[in-house]
Amino acid sequence: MRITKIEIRNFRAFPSSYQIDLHKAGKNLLVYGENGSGKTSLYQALKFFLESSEGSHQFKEHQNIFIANDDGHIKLHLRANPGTNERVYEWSQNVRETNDPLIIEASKAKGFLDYKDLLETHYVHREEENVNVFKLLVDNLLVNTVNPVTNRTLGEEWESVQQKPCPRRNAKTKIAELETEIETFNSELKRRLEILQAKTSEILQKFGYNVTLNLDFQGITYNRDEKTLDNQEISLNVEFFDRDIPTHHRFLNEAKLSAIAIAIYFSSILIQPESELKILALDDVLIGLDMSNRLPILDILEAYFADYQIFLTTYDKSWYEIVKQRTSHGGKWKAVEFYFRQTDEYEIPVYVEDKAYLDNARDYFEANDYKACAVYLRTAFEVIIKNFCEDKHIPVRYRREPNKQDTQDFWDAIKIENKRRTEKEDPALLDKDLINDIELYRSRILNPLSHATIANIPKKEIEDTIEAVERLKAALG
Amino acid sequence: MGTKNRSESKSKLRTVDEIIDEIEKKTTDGDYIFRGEAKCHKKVSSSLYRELKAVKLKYSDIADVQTEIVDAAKEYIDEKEKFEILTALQHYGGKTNLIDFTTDDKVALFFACYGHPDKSGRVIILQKTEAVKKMLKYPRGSVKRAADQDSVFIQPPDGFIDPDNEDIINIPKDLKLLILEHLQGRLDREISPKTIYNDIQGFISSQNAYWMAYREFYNGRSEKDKGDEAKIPEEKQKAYRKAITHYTNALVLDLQQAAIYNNRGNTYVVISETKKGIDDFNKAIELHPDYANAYVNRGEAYLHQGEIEKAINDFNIAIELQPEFAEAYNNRGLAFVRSGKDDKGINDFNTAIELQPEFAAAYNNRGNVYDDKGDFDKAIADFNTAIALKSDFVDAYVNRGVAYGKRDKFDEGINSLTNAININQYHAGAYYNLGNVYLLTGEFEKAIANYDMSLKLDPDDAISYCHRGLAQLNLREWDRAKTDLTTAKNKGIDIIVAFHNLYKNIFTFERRNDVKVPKDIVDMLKQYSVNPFTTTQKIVTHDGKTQESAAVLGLLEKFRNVGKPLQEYLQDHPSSGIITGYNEAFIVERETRDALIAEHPSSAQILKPFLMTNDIQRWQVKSKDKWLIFTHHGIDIDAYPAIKKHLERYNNALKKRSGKQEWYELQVASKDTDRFEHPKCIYPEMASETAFAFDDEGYYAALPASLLPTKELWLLGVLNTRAVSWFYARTAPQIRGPFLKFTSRYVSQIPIPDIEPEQQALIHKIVEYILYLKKQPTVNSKDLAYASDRVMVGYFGNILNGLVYELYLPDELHRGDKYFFQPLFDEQLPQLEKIQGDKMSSFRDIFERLCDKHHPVARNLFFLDSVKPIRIIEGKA
Repeated sequence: MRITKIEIRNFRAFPSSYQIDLHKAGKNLLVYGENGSGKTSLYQALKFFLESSEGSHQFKEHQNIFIANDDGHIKLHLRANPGTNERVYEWSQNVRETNDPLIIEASKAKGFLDYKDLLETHYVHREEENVNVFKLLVDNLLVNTVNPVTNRTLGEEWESVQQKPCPRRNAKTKIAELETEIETFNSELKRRLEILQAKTSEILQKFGYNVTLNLDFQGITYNRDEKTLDNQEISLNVEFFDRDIPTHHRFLNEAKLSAIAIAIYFSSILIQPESELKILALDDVLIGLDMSNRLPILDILEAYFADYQIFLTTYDKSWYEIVKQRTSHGGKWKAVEFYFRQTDEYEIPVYVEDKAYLDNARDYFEANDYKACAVYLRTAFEVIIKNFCEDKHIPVRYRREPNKQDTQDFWDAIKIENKRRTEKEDPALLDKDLINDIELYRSRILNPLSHATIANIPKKEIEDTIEAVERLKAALG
Repeated sequence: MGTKNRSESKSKLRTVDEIIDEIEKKTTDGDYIFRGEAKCHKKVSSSLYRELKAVKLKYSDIADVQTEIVDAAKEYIDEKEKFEILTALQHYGGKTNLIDFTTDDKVALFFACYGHPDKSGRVIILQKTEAVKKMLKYPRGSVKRAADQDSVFIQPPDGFIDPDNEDIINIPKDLKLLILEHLQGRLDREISPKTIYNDIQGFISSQNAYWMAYREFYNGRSEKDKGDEAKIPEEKQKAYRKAITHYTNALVLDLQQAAIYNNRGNTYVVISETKKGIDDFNKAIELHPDYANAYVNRGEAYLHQGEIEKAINDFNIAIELQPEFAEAYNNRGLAFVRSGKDDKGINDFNTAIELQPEFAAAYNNRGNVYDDKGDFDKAIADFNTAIALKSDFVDAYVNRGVAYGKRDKFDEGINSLTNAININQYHAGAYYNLGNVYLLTGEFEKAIANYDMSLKLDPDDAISYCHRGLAQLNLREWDRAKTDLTTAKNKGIDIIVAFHNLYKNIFTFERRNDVKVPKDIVDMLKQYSVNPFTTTQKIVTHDGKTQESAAVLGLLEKFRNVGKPLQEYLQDHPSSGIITGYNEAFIVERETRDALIAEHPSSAQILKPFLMTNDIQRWQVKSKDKWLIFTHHGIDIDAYPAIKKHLERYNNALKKRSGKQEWYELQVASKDTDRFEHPKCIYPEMASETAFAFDDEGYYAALPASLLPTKELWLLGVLNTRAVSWFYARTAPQIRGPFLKFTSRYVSQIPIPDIEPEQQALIHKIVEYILYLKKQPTVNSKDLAYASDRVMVGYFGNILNGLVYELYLPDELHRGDKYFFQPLFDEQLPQLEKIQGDKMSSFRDIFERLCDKHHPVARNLFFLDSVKPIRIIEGKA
């Protein structure tokens, strides 16, 4: 069962109608989006759609704030396999087809992780001996995992234990009752952690860490004197090559902790039953990882979540380009980009599927939206030079970490190639003027850091840049 | 002194009986005559006196005038005697100086009440003193009416008499009808217009009364119509009150009219004085036993009072009397719906509509049933028809609005409710429901404005306070929220149910709104003190009552339909544990027990292993090694000297126990050992879920624990599931706090599903596993190293949950592809006793297999709550 099309109308950042076609096969979706461009709204659209049968979750709570009276909706087109018919499920103010067991089950088994879920990794106590990840796990990563005895989620059980009034010292029955509930919580959490640590260690191998993970939990206890819930502690230990590293708190920097957290989350999804419609969505979660840890994630997704439909979003353009390239074979992925654009009253996301970046840049220029124009111009420039280098097998400076390989490397490669040709008296790729122009505009317009100052740049200069990139495209394309 | 007292007692006269008593008391000591006046004149005077006074003639010569009249009348009457002429004149309504009296106090009472319904009357009592006797004249015996009225006349020289105040008994106008009814119903002698006015003259005067009654009746009808049409509640009330007064007047003038009673009864029902209404319908039916309409009305009144069986009975009679009486079908339909028989209800509405295709109310009612059943499209179609037939049918607009709201069609809902308000801006319910829709759409200010209106119109509407409070919560107006919620709570609203209905729980509410609710409000709305099986899926109705939703009622019905009540299944009933009356004496520790046996070996015979209530857990008992001294009735205590000596230490306290037993005896018969010594299930009286424990070690137990006489383990398996806990929580009476009270009356009603032998065997097998596991050290250990073993026991319990859900709701589960029996049959689980070697390690293997994410049992348990009824039971819908 796959999603073949997503229709969103008047939901959060999306003021009008948007359609994302995932084709008959129900492709995975890679999304690049600037902050505020609607990328997160897309993530939420999927999440809330799946969860909307819980409680009385109303569509209206999420309508775009600028479009007061318009009716919005989220519609998912689902298809069991490419040969069968599509069924459309709608969630809107007036229609709630998400009560269907198919959707309820998909929601229960889904994996949805966003960067906020990982924020806790910044706050964990890295004390001398161990890292306490109780809050990270119980309040964030494992909050939706289900206790097979009670059918309740870990979050519900923990909440229920916390909500119980603290009994007085001599209230034996009440203490017994509370302790029974704590014991149910402890037992399942303990068992689950044991299964998780095995699975997580396995996954971590894929990150290239030869480590074994230990999640040590001694069980919550009720302190009758202080009336507190003690031992809220799950200590994370990492064994390196079966040898305890005493300095692991240095090993466990935030980036590595993020990687471990993601691995634990993946494990928690993997150890529970799978629904017919399997969705894994990761919103910006890879940002905390350094590039060397991001690429393995793609391998992990492929190895463990092959039959899931994956939604991967990021605001990191170069990471986006890398993933796009890595996933461009096999037709399992589709890549889309979101930009935002200021209209007279509000910002709207612009959704780009084709590669006519330069045309888009020209359009925005004419609409006096220089910010959006610059975004497209920059993209166009990058795409032109990267594609050229790849097509012509022009040697580009090698970097161990691919994310360090940036536009400069490609541009330098082209200049070197140009120089080589000139020396060999072959026809030059680019004339001197063009190179000079590009060099000039790179620092001012074609530089991602120039974003903030773009408003101060004369219109003429932007127009010249468009022309220069057009010339570049003509020369290299 | 005495006079004062009497006048005081006069003012207190209230009831019919008191008035009759008063008259009788005043006339016990001698000979009296009586006069009834339907309205009070200043004086007790003759008609001629009043006439003369009116024309301002000097009345000192009233005797002369009288003589003149009699002389003039001689010409027309075949009578010579002057007095006879005078009485004839009086009889035909002429003006004379005679004042009508009667020797029968009840006749006087009749005249005091008959006529002038809007004025108080009076009875004048006159003792036959010598002075009176002089004025007293007796009519000739041949006039029939005079005889029936026991008439006598007073001929006062001045044209009037002036009795003492204490000889006048005032009859308040609102008692007139009651007195007339009383007089008419007298067994010894009926006094009514029919018996009093028994000749042509009487006929004429009762014709007058009839026409007056007729006028009053129509005045009543027109006031009632006014009331029906009025929109301002005060105006409505006023008109209805007026209507009742007119009807009462009509009845004073014409007692025999069933139609008047019927109409007045209706009006009483409308203003919620239902009991009075029923009295009126009773009279109407008594007067006119074939009066179909009165049966329908009485039925409606019974329905108002919740006496549904009586109501249905009345509608049945009405339908029998008048088989095409659409209204009767419509009302019977309502009664069926109220008693949970929705299908029968719909049938009746259908018939009503067939008989009277433009019967808007029947469409509206049918729509309501569809709405409750969750069939919103049909509901809305019916409301639409009702509105098309009757474009100002406010209730239909309101109902349609509510139905749209439930279907999440908020805009349409808002439209329909706004229409209702446009038609009737005083309809509190319309504002309340409009508020609800805005509450759902998150437009909290608008919601509050509507609740404000609803409360302005109906300041006692507790549920509006409650929902306004919830709207305030969303706006983070904590103080206002707290005030409103407190008011609602004090008015009897279950605010916890209301909150959880809308927002699931505080945790979810806070997360979704990204807000922290102040602690005092959290404490008000916290769920912990309520049994988890009872909170969700309840509805707080418009009148503030908490009731089960239609979905829950339907589910309970399904449960009941799959099997028979426990008591019927067992052919036996649960029984209570022993009452010792003094535990300290009868319940001993092992040391004492051993000592008692050492002291005298006979002690062993009556020392029984004993369970305290806390020893009873779900599945198993955990004895604390206590022993009961089982001194049943008729025991020869001297045969047990050690025991006797032991009990003697408590002699005083034991003697103070209630009951007829000897001081050393328990309140149990000597034969009452079987039920303890045979295998049985024991359960505590208070528990938050079903907690039946199996015992085959012959434990004795005391209250508050009870016994279920069965050794069928599969039954234990069925009882200890979420399905049964839910059913029990929903059918047993509610008590505060998380506990349910397990009393035999309700336990014996738990439906035990019909079951195939192999299903029974499977459940039996798993229960055996659980009982075995519960005894294992690793399961009982607190060491987290064995956490997995404890989860295993729980998991087997949860598998039973799945199996038993499948027994109660097979179709629902199978429709969602959730099977438990079949995959477990396929698993071919071994019987406990057939497991060789280390049983624990076999169990761990079984557990791992069944818990694997690909195993259908694990999958189906994990996804079980995607099945709608399970969502309801598990509180997730």
